[in-house]
Amino acid sequence: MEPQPNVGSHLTYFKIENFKRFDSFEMSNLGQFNLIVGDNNVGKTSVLEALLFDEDLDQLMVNFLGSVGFRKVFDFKHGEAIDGKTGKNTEFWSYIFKVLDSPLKIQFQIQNLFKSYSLRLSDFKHLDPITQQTIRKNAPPNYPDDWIVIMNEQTKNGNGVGAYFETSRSDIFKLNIPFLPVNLGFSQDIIDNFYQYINSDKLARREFDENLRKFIPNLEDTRVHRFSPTRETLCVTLLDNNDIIPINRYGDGTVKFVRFLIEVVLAKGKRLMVDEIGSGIHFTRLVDYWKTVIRLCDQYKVQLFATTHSLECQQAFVEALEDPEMQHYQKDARNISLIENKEGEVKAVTYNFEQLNFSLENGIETRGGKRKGFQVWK
Amino acid sequence: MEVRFYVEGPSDRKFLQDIVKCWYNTVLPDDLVDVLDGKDNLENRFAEALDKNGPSFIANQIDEVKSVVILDADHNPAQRHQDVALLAQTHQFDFFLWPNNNLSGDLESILEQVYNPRHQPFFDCWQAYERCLTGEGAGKYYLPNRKGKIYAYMEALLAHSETQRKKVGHVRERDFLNEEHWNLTPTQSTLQPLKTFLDTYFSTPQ
Repeated sequence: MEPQPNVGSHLTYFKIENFKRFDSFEMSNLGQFNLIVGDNNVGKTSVLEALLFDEDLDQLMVNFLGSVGFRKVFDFKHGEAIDGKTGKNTEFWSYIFKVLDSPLKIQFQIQNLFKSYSLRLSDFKHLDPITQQTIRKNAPPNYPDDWIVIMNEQTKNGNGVGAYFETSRSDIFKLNIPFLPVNLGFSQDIIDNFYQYINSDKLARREFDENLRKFIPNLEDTRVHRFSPTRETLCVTLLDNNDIIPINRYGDGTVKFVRFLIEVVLAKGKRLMVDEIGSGIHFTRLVDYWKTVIRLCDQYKVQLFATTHSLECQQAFVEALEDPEMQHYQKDARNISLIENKEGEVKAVTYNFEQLNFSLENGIETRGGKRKGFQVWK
Repeated sequence: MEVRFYVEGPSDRKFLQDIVKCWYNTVLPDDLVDVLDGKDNLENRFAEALDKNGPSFIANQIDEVKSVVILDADHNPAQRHQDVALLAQTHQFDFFLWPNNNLSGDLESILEQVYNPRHQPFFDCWQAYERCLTGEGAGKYYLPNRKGKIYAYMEALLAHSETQRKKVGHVRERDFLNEEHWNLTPTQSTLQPLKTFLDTYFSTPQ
């Protein structure tokens, strides 16, 4: 038997119901490198946010809070703890559930293992007795009004926490959210993560610099520099001068790439969602950019879900995978096109590499939008 | 209802477009007739070619666009019919096998029957030429060479003119609507099954 790749917790199938704009949405035949394309407002970003579902309730809470926070619905600073009152004021669950008093259902498959969960926002007295008992065992006695309950639909085991972090430990806010929103820009978390995951490891630092040279060819090294007692930032030094240059002086594309270089390490063995992966990247760099993204995801066994609306980015994805040194990744690459039907339901169509390559070569539209047909009688 | 057509190659597309124009006075644009593989002759690769278009068929279903596939029957029409019917179930498409959904053959099997009868001498001579080659050395030559026959017919008709001669080698330039060269009368037995098939999409309901 051929050795199986270590795909950890990689999804092969995913379905979600009652989430954001979706009554129901499913994707099948998923690979390790998934490019999601579709028309404006079809829900590409919502799909990435749905993939933030986690079996661990703390991680799930922080992920979903962040997914709403990144959209700037409320003032959100990743890593900053919030109390129950502040949490409640965000009303973030109303952005997660399509119908707030119905359960959100998730089904997924990891290789041959099928899993099914439901998530429900409920007050304590309406929870089932077993879940109430579990909560009583784990939570402090000051029960909040609203609870978020996760139920394994196969084992019927349930667990709940205060819906607005009333019963959560403050350190859960430090949990990393495996999501790169579009145009997040530079912020303190880049420095914190650089310190924690890159700076302390000589090999990781060397690799980080090597990859960053694709954007800054004359880079000597990357370091955190303190400009003043209150101002510290991530900087680069260059081979040809003595300056220390803040990374945010480079464009959005470089900052985004720096974020990716850090996030891919943090997402080791799990999945990482990247919104508008090609935005801010000049088209001449897109192919090399994709090669690096794919290689790093392979190295850290990360399952990538990335969106784009750009044909150039989609073509660069294919071109990168056609490089003789990259061809062995083709079998793990997918293009997922989101199409909205006449009823307003969003459907996913999965292309393997060969199908995508064929479609692009022959000018067949793969980025969603209404399919053109010839109007006939009948 | 809306339809999208899928054919084996550019020559099939041009013939379909011309016949739809002739019979239904309807222009079928290029972008609504997809070429399944980009290369002619899918005899041993038709399943693979249909699979490459699998996502396109699914996208059509989502948008309620009917997929209609036209392939060559090639040498074993019963087997081909059975194989394609199975794929049609998977991918949800209607299909027609050149030449008439029943016999073996391909597009050329139609073309060698639908020439203008005024040019019968050309086809008689071609038949004599092939008979001669068969007698001279069995297996030495690729016979019957039906693609070659159609090409030679076009060249014989068009090569007098510098501008027309250029059209001979370009299948997209072939003009099946030229009544001097072709007879597309739908009632002739060669074309009747195709007419019946296309009527389901293009005929105005009574």
